[in-house]
Amino acid sequence: MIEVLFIPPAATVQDLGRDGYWSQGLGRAGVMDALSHSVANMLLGNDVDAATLEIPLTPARFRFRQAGAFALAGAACGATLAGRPLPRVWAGMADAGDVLELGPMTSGARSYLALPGGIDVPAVLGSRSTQLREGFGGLEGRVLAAGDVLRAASETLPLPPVGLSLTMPALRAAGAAEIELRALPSAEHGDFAPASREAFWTTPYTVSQQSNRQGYRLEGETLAYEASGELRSHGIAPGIVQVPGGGQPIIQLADSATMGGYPKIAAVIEPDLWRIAQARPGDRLRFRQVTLAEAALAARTQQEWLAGIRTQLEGFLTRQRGWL
Amino acid sequence: MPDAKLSMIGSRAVLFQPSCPFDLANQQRIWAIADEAATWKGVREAVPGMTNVTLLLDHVPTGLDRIERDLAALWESGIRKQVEGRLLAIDMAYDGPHLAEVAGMTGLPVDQVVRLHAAPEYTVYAVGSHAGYCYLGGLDPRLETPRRKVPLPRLPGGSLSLAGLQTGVSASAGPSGWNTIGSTDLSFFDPERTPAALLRPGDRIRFNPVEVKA
Amino acid sequence: MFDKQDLARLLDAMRAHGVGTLEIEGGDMFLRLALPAGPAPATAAEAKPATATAAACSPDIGTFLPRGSDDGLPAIAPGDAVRAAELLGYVAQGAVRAAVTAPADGIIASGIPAPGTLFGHGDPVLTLETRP
Repeated sequence: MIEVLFIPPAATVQDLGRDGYWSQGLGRAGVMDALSHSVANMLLGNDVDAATLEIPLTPARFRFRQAGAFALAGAACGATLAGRPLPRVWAGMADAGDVLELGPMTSGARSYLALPGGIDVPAVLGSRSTQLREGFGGLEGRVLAAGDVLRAASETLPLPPVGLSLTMPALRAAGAAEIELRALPSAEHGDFAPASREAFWTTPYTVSQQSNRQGYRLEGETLAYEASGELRSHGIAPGIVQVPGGGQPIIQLADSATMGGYPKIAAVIEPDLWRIAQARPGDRLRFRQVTLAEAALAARTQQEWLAGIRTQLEGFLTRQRGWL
Repeated sequence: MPDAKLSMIGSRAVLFQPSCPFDLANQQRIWAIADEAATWKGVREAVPGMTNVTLLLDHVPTGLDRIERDLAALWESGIRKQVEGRLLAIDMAYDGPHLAEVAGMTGLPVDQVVRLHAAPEYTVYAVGSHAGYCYLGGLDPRLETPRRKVPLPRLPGGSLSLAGLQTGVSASAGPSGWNTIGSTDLSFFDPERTPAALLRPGDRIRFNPVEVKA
Repeated sequence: MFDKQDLARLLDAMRAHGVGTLEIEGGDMFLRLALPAGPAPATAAEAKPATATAAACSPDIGTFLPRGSDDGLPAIAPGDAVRAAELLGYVAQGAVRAAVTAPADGIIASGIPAPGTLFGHGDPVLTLETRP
């Protein structure tokens, strides 16, 4: 059980999202960075769909009301527990009264805090994710505030006394200045001017300050849409890159509307959405066109990576039990 | 190949857009496709848009040929879903901040704007954008107005607004670039209710003016 | 506070470094460990007055990864002061990194092992000079 001492009004309880209500107009919500969220859960032996706290703004401070395990993953934010520095990916024990502090983010844009069994909030419509617009799910359908208390869904402390960290996939390729996003051409790709298509796939786009759970507005080469007439509203999914009248792209994300009508140049593949979630205003993105086969392979590769982590963590626990 | 477009709008999301006029008969074909496709193996959800349908798949498809053929065959079959749909009368206060402006833009007196807006039986074509929001067909063309140049950052839930040839009632607070002419207390989405969304495609709405304040 | 495992590690470290007795004081706690006299390593140094050492031991079998590579933490070097339970580095197997932590408040007295150095469970990884 931990108490929030201080937190900017942007942190929400999320799981992998609310499936099955798209046709009622309800978006998925859910974590922006499913990879860090899943790793934080797995470090505690939780289901990957257990609820974590998504923290997009720091500093934040929590106090453990009783001793317990916790895990952190995502952005590097100078976290400390009882004054001792923690790495950006961490699972360990805290003593009663310990203060967990997250400082300024130096790399990445979101940290995830996990508790044993997940954060204990009621499931609504099959998920514990916060639906900010509709005001339900998560903790009372809202962002966290000082004084809130987060309970662990499980009393068990599955961790050995050894602290754990993990090697995560790199946000950028070694030596790269930009974050690469793999994407499929989308419905109106062919209706953009050839030079605009070329620019989209070859020049970098900068993440603007207008970037949040609904979407990221990007700044870069203006994209000229050459078809005329309004599009009829249609379903939109996280990762879709829309280009409104101004010619600057927007990537729709976890809390986007479920329908829209702007021209769509591309769709970022699901296994790369976590990279957007960890991109900060000012970071530069580069889109790389992939085929469906490459998108399918990327999805499989990420699932296999997560399964491999689960196996490795089980191996670690088995070794630890042998030594105790 | 029939005149329809299939495209990826996500690595597991496919958008099917047949080329057709925007009318109720074609929308009924879309509802039929969505119902049918939702039962296909590998399809998690099927969502009707405005004369288009989006499928959310379980996995990234390895190719689109099969799904394209199946969707095109369904469309070509011309099968329509003629929903009985319920008719809902909604008490509406025509008291929105832009009612007088809409009267000005359309060149009609306020009373006439309200009368024209409350006259038709609207059909829910699609549900989406935000939870419980309905895309309605049936607005009188005399009420066509442009979108607002400066959107309102936070319009309360239950706001009746219109723009272009579309009209609808917001189900929760959010930004809006439409012209707002009324308000209601009705809840269009309630997670405690089954189904949570009040209205489904094919349902019909009639607005009952309880107050006019411009 | 020390548990059985900590004590075992301390004793291992004492044997490894030829330390016969070890005294640790912290708050209201005092711990004195003494090994029976026996065949000590030839390199055993005479007990230095007024200082004690403590080893940070490997919690797993794996290869060493220093702190400060990609974990958002500053690197550490000999001479740095660290606090009890502070993370000093990792012993990694695949992607899983087990934390090597300081057994007590102290100063890093040994070199930092080269990345990739292999350690067994309980092997001393770093030595701290603890305050007497």
